[in-house]
Amino acid sequence: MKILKCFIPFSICLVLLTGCWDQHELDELSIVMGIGINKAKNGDLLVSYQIVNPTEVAPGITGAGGGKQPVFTVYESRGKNLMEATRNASRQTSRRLFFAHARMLVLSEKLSKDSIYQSLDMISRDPEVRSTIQVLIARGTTPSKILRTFSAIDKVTSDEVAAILKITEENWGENLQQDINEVLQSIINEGGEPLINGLEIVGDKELAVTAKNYEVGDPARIRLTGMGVFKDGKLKGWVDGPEARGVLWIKGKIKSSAISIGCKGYKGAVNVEVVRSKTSLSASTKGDIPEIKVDVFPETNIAEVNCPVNLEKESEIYKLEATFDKVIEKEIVKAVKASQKYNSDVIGFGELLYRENPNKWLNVYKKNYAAIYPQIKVKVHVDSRIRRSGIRTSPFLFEKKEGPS
Amino acid sequence: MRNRRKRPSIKTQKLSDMVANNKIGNNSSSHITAPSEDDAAQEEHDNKGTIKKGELSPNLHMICGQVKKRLGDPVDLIIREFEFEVHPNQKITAAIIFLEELNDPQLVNEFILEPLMALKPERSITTSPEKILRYIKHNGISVGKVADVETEEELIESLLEGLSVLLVEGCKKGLKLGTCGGKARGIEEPTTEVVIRGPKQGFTENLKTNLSMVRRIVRSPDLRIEKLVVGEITKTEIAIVYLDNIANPLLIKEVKERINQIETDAIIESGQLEEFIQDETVTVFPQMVDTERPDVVAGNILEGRVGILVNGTPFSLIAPTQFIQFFQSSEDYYMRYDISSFLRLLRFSVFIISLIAPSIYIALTTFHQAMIPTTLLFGIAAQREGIPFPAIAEAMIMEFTFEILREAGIRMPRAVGVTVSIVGALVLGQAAVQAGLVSPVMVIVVGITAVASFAVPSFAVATSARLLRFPLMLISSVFGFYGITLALIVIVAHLTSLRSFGYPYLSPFAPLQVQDLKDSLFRFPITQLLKRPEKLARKNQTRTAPYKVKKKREEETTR
Repeated sequence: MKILKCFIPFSICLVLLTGCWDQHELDELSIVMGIGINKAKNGDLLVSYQIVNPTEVAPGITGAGGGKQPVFTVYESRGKNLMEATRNASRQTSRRLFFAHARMLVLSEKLSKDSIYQSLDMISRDPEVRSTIQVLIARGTTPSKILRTFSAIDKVTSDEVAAILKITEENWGENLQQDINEVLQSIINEGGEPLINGLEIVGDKELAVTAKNYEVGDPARIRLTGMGVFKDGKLKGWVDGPEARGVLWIKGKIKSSAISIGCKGYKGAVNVEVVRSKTSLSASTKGDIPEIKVDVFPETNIAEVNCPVNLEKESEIYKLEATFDKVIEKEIVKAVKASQKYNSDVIGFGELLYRENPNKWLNVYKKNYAAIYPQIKVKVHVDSRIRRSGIRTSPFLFEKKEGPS
Repeated sequence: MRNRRKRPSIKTQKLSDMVANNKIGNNSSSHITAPSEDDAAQEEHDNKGTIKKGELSPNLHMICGQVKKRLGDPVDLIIREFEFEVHPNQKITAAIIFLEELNDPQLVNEFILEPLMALKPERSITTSPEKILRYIKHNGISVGKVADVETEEELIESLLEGLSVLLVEGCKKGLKLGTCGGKARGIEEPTTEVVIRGPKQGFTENLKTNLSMVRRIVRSPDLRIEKLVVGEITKTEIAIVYLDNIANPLLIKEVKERINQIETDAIIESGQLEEFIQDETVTVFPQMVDTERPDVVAGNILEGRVGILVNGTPFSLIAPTQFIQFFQSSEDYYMRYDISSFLRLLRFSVFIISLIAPSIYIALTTFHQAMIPTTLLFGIAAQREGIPFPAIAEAMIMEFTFEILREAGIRMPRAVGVTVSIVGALVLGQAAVQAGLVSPVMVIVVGITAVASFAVPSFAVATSARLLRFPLMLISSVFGFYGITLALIVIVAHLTSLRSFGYPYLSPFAPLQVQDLKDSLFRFPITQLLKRPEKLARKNQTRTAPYKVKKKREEETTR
């Protein structure tokens, strides 16, 4: 009887409490892969949601037909803020929008120039959205167009962009994965400003938004391009190419890269592959204008040699190392100059100064950091090591020239 | 060390308390006392109708008549009257009574009838029937097991036990003779606990055979076999087996007491006995190991446990039992320790899989879609597309179907079995998916659950996972992982509260017994297992002396 008495309330609970909080069957959800935010003329947010059609994306599903429906679809909706727009979207969607798997957040250039602050809070507050969502800026196009672009290899654009970011960060080093957490952190950091990757569409932009895009040999593609520099939440400009890589050198985020250096008068004849790199920053806060010392220690391999150089000689290797050091130094100096030009501390010097000397930072530097930052002196010292030269030592050009000994 | 010194006093106290408590518990428990009135009435009724208690009548015909009447003159009752000469010229009438198929007729013929009828008369013997009986007991019968029978009650009992009874005209006593025989199943390989390495003999239905198998393994003078009889009607023989120098006497007392308190008409299988003597009725977890293997019984009594063998079934019980024992197989000790440890971990994880796999699926797909890797989510979502039922209904349908098939598979005659498995494969497999009833992932989940539940070595504990699976599925469909976690906490709490003959069910984990951990989830090398279980065998802790042989290397042995 006792057991029965205990069981009755439980079973009543089971019946009455079913379907409470966030119980949703999978087929009642629309999986959002990408979010795009633009600004309408009246100041409202224009939000696009890239929704996947799982039947088309899933591997090896029989039946269904395949190809009759698009792989994804993009809903657009507007509202005074992100939440309003999201709920407003339910007027078009047959299922609840589900954000946990969203891979990217694309902001329009227009919105970025205005202020990005408005669009970041909900993304970081909502429990569903992951903190690993990548933040990007549509450069020279709109977020909705980027989300609508069909991609060739990965079926969903957002997935592809997230993958591109990861690959390029590991291989080329001009872009840095910036998820929502890192963006917010760099805003909160002392004197810091965010650095956000740019996205552009290359190729036939008309074709990009049709399903035919992946049927043609030369489809429109989405490409990463530079990183946006912000000041007070407003997009001020872009750093591209070696400048962008310079920022990564200072931040110590270079995982690998390939850098061309000159050799014996041939321009860019030798390519050096960076294998790993360490950066140490130190600041001297004696004067009114702080001095910062950047020490970079890259470890490299020789990847390509197109000039007759005898790599068996130690002195030649040292020469190459020295040339390489100079190239990197130049890149870093350029990056610093660019950021000083925009007066935007995207590198995180403010945080460094704060850690070195909290009192001086709070009392002296912080107040007129805007005036101090462009004047900060940065000393760069690169000390690289060439470790290996692939599976051959001297290039065949050298052996041809010297002849068999 | 401090703990170890403390524990003994606590434990003995506990056990004695437990014994006392059990007495009270039995008295107050309605299960045992309620039918006792009926039993008493039954007994009274029986007594009226049966032969009067008292000595056997000296009149041979009268006794035979009474026996016939009591047993209802069955076809298998054989009363063979014959005469023999003890004194020259004095013929004595005697009768041998036995139930035909319970006895070995050859034994009766060769060792009782033949020598008696060929008895050479001697002058020196007095003619008093008692003396004659003694004489033939000592000189006339060549059977090992001979005892006196003095009452009619005893006579009937020994007949039903499978003994033959010799009665002599004019004598108030009879002789019961051990001529047991008849047909029984031979010793075969156990069907439920198959091992790859290890003894291949299993218990049979015959208690005596089973006891002999245990005795052959444990050849110790300290091996105690005590016989108890339970069942008003069936008079089932129950033997408890233990090692006197290892087992805790309080435990043995408790076991005997629990068995002796049973007042029921019949015990046919050890499962019935188990239900009587287990500590907790309202639980899905088995509190005693059942085994078909004599080596398992031997191994357990060597650890200080008690084996309970029941006549008429090959399944014997082991008490007390710890939860971890259900994940151990006797083979663990015969194979290398590394693979044994791996297999034990595997079995444990398999138990958890069979317990929660469907509920995890339900929780993941209805609550925690964020936890599924994106690509897999697409896959599952695409499969769920067009399935008319929510995940819980889908899972329930499939699990229920599987249970049906499983039950059908066991009960079906062998000839139909193949049909069932083919149809079953269709229902549980591709056909169900193509019909759009369930998603392919669900088929995989049900499949892994099914296979996992068979990988648990103990059928008894697999059953508890099988039962708990359904409430877990319901809870996970309502509360997601939160619900599963809560339910698992409740299950663990329940396990902790269980006792088997007073011994904590979850030991050696709760309470923690570090020494015993060596032989729990892992099996340490045999040279490391020096002690018997701490709480079970306090009397005699040392199992193995440290093995310190300097093993010779190649250079020394091939010199």
